[in-house]
Order: sequence, then structure tokens, then C-alpha cells
Amino acid sequence: MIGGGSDREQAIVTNKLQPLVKEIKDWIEDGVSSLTICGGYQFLGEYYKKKNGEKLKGMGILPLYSEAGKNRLMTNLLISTKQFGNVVGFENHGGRTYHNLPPLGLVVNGYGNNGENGEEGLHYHHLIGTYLHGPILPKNPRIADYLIEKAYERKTGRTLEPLNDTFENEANEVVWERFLHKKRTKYKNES
Amino acid sequence: MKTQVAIWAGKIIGVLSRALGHGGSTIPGIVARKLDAKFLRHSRSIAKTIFYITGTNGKTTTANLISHLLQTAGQSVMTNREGSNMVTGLSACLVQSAPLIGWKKYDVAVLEVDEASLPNAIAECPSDYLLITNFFRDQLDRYGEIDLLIKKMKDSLKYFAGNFIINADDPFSNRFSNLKKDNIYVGLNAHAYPFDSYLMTESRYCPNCQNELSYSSVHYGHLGHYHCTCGFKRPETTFAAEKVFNDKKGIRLVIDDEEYPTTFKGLYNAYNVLFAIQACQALDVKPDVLRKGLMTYQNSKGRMQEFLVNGKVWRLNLVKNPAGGNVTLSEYFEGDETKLLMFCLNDNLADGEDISWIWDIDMELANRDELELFIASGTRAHDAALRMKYTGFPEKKIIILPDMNEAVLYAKRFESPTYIMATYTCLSPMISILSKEAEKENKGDSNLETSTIPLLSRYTQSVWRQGKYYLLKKAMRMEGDFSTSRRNQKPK
Ligand SMILES: [Zn+2]
Repeated sequence: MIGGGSDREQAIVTNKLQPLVKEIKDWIEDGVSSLTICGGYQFLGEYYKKKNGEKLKGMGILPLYSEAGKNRLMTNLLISTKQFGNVVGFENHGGRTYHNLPPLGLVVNGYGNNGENGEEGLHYHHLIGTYLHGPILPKNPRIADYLIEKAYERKTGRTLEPLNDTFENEANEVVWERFLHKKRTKYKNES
Repeated sequence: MKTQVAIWAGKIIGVLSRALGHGGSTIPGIVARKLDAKFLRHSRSIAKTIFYITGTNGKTTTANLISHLLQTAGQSVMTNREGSNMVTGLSACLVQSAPLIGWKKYDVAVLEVDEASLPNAIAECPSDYLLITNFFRDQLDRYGEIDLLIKKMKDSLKYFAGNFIINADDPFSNRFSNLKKDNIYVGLNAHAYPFDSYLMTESRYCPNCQNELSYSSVHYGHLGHYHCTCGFKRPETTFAAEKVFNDKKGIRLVIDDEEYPTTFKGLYNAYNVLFAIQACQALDVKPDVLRKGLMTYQNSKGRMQEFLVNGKVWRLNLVKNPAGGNVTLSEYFEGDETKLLMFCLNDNLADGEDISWIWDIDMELANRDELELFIASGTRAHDAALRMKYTGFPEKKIIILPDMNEAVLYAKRFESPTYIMATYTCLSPMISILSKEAEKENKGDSNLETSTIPLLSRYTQSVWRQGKYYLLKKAMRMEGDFSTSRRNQKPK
């Protein structure tokens, strides 16, 4: 799991992890469960272009890149996904991320990857990259279960019994209902 | 003349906006600044000495206490109201404090200043004293903004000619040290607290070299006696509390062999008291006057405020960030009496729309046997409940009642007192609910017997309305009215 940090902190991590890039790539291709959020998601990619045009090098693990935008994209983010149902959380990011990989879901409220194409995050093998925090796992237990399940299966070849997620699902539903009807601007590709 | 017009316009707009029912606390400031751009510079015309107080926690309490102590010493004081701590709010305060013609002279202006607004405030009107209480990381810092914030603040203070009063125990505040020589440093001596410092969940890294700081004594959070291999370390204090005692009436500080009893509940208030005493001593207020002021000070509303409900002392405290949450919990759970804990969590703009900070509160501190029930309330009650679940606290002892009236009515049915944490916009509704309860208490028309039935009907009604009667079932199960074997079912 990789979270976010300031530009300075991210640069330190990128340098430290550089020798491991090949290994991490192999893990991901082999189906290791991974969750990368915000800065951690951006730094999977090739670069992050700052406002002044300077490019911060990413880890180059996946074909994606990010660019600093004018404003921070900051709001409650609701996305709908095929695999995990309605996913809720909060986004707060200055960068816009672009890629052609499968997204985690489609934006119902908020901005998502770049505020333009209506997509949020990425889902590649068992890796999830996303701008959602809030935090993401407790309120979206299906994602948490998925990551644990895949890791457990990979390790042992056995499956897991589900837990009681009543509280988690209630919290998810409440956030969904609360922000579903908020006004939002339409995306470029929407009519 | 421009200035005079700005003041008049500001005053008129202020009256109008109040008449129209808007709070309008910053509107006069906005108007005055439109007419006279650097309006704050006139603070100099109104006060002989100016204090700015900035930092994450303790601004309001410290500012209020300094004002009260100076007033006790017979000085005239101008101060801004809580929440009016940005440039427009400070300007509004100035408009309202100015008479219609000319300038009234106050002895002192005591102004709390929002950290992000400090550069502008300093540029328009540098203060004589700048108190830097502390910096705590909050959700903003996940994006490295505290570094940026401190850098901007420091840049604005390059030519600052006033005096710094800095919290020696806070590594972040210490970053202001290299701006000037002869700073005033306040802090607590090693092991001044009689209680164990609890584990902190946030990181404490050297702002200089990013290595982990070493602590010889931790007070709370990252405040304490720290040092780093690179040489960055806690500065020598110029004014320190040798001991802090937790007396029945409130905390008592020992400073330079002088005893200062206070009415403050909560050991974390030691820093606020220390800052206030130091600020007043800079203006030559004598210890006897300070002692008198400290004992007559009334804590602001919602700051460890106590209410008598059902013959029990309920407590209410404002919580707006993880550090505040941690000190509140450590205070609430100091004794092992049985109790209920209520967390009222709203996500309005003033509370912060991103509520993920609650995951950084050490809620695990509340997972104790003497906690009978956890009540989650407010617009994000479900998030508060979920956070509590992850401490390992039994799910069946967690109740979700988003309506604060219902939450209080429900809590009233228990013999044990309820201790409440409330975010900013939950605070005043909660104070009025509890004040009404306390009033009933005085009139003697409240008892457990009669309040039970109206409570349940009220509860049922609104719960049915929301179509969420599983909440009611959960509540009734607590009363033993409902089979527990169906716990995990959620009727639609
Ligand atoms: Zn260091």
C-alpha cells in the first residue's frame, strides 16, 4: 500500500524505491494485492508535471502521467463500479491523472482522475490506484475484502469467509445519499 | 478621510446585516477593506500594544485568557471574537471597536490570527508580540501543506521587529527561532505532568533533516523535550512551568516557585495558561493580579463545559482535529467511572468537509470496560460509529442517532453521565440542548420515569420517517426488548 505525501517526501520515496521497480512490476503482473492512493497513485506513473513545467520523475511502473492543474479538486467523491458497487470517499488533489488502463469506476459526484473524462482511478490485475481517501477501506468493505481475499488466495489457494459489514455498508449508503444530488458540472464528453 | 468613510460604511453595513438576520461578523471588514485597502494598518491607531496569537490549537483560549487577565489588571482591551481571525474578521473587529469619529485608545489589542492569514496581518500591521502556540498536523498535511504554510509565515516575518513568544516544546514552532535572537520560549519542564503520556499516532520527524526525533520527555502529541542527531533541538526555555498539578477545581501551575491555581480543566490547558501568564508579565502584570484573574476566568462555551443532567455532570468539549480529540479523550477517560461517550460529527464547511481526520484520533483510548455506550451523532454519525467499531469496541454498544436532540434524549436514560465531543457546527446546538436540560434540572421537572415514554415515541417517529427502523431495533435491543439473535439482519 502506498499513500500520498508532499512533493519533497514523494521524491525521497521514489529515489528509495527506484532499485525495486522491476520487482514491484513483476509482483503487480503476478497479481499481488496493492492499493495506491493520491500521491502514491500518481507516482506509479511516468512523471508528475508541476505548474512551473518541471517534471518530477515517477516510478514508471504503469503507463500513466499526471499534471498539476489550476485548482485543487476537492470534494466528496462518489463513483459507481461494476465489481464493488457504489464507492464513496473524499478527494483532494491538485494533479490530473491520464491513462488508458481500466478505471476503478465512473464518477457520479466529484472530479475523479482529471475532472474531464468522468473516470476515477485504475484497476489493473489486483492493483487499485485511486484519489479516494476518507478513508477508502472501512467505508468500502468490498474493496477491502477484495484486496485481502486476493492476497490470501495467492498465498494459500483457499478462500475466506465474509465478515459482518453492516456498519460499513450503512456508512457507505449514508454518504452516497448525502452527496448524490449535489450539483456538479458536466464532463466534456457528456451531452 | 478615506479611512473614516471606510469605518462608517463598515458600521452601517454591519448594522444592516445584523438587522437582516445575518451574523455578519466579517461583512463590515470586507466593506471597509474595499474602501481602504490596507485597513488593518489602523490597528496601530487604536491600541498601544498589539498581541497576535497564532497556531493550530489554543488560540482562542489563550487570547481570551490574556484579555481577561489584562482586564483584571485594569487595562482596556480590544479583542476579536472566535472565528473572526482572518484578515476580514480582524478588519471587522477594528471597524466595530472604532468610535464614529477619530480613534479610541485601548491599552492592548489581543487578536487571534489564523495561520494562513498571518502574512497579510503582519504586512498591514506588525504586532508587538507574536505568540506561536503549536502546529499540529491535520489532514492538510498529508499534502505537505504545513511545510508550505510555515514557510509562507516565516517569509512574512523576515523583517519582524516585535517579540516572538514561542512554544519551546513544539518542533514546528521552533522553526521560527532562527528569524530573530532573544526570543521568549515557554514550555513545560521534563515530567512536569503527573500522568502518563499516551501513545501518539502521528509522526514526529525533524523539520531540518527528516530523521526521526528523539524525546527525553513527551508531554502530548509531538510536544516535549526533543533532539535530533543533526543538532536541531528544543531551545532552553526562558519561562517554564516546573510542575502542573491536576487539582479538583482545575489545573495548578508552578512557575518560578510561584503557584498559579486555575479554573481550567484539562492538563493540555497548561500551555494556554503558560502563554497567557508570560504575555501579561511582558506588560508587568504582577503575580497576585494574575492569580486573581486566573481564578475568576470563565472558560469559553463548549470548552470542557459542564452541565448538570439527571443529577450527573455531563461534559462537552469542542474537537476540531486529531490532537484536540486525543487530549479530550485522555481527559474524559482519566477516571474509571462508568460513562457514555458521544461524538457529534458534522461535515459543514466550518467543520471541514473532509472528515477523514477522525481516523487519526486515538479512539482506541475509549475502548474501555467502563464505557457503557458510544453514541454517534451529527451529519456524519455513521462515520463516527464506524471509527469506533475499528477500535474493537463491541458493535452492540454503538448507537447511531444523527439528530443531536435524540442522541441527548437517548443518553439521558442511562444512570451514568455522558461526555461529548462535538465539531464546530455541532457545538452551539449542543450547548442549547444541554442548557435546556440543565434548566429542567433546576426546576426539578425532569426524571427518568417520565422522560422515557416521550423519548421513545419521538425516536420512533423520526426513525420511521427515515425508513431506518433497524436503528430503533438496535436501540430496543439495548433495552432487552429485542432478540439479539437477529442482530445482523437489516430489514429494508
Ligand atoms: Zn534533524
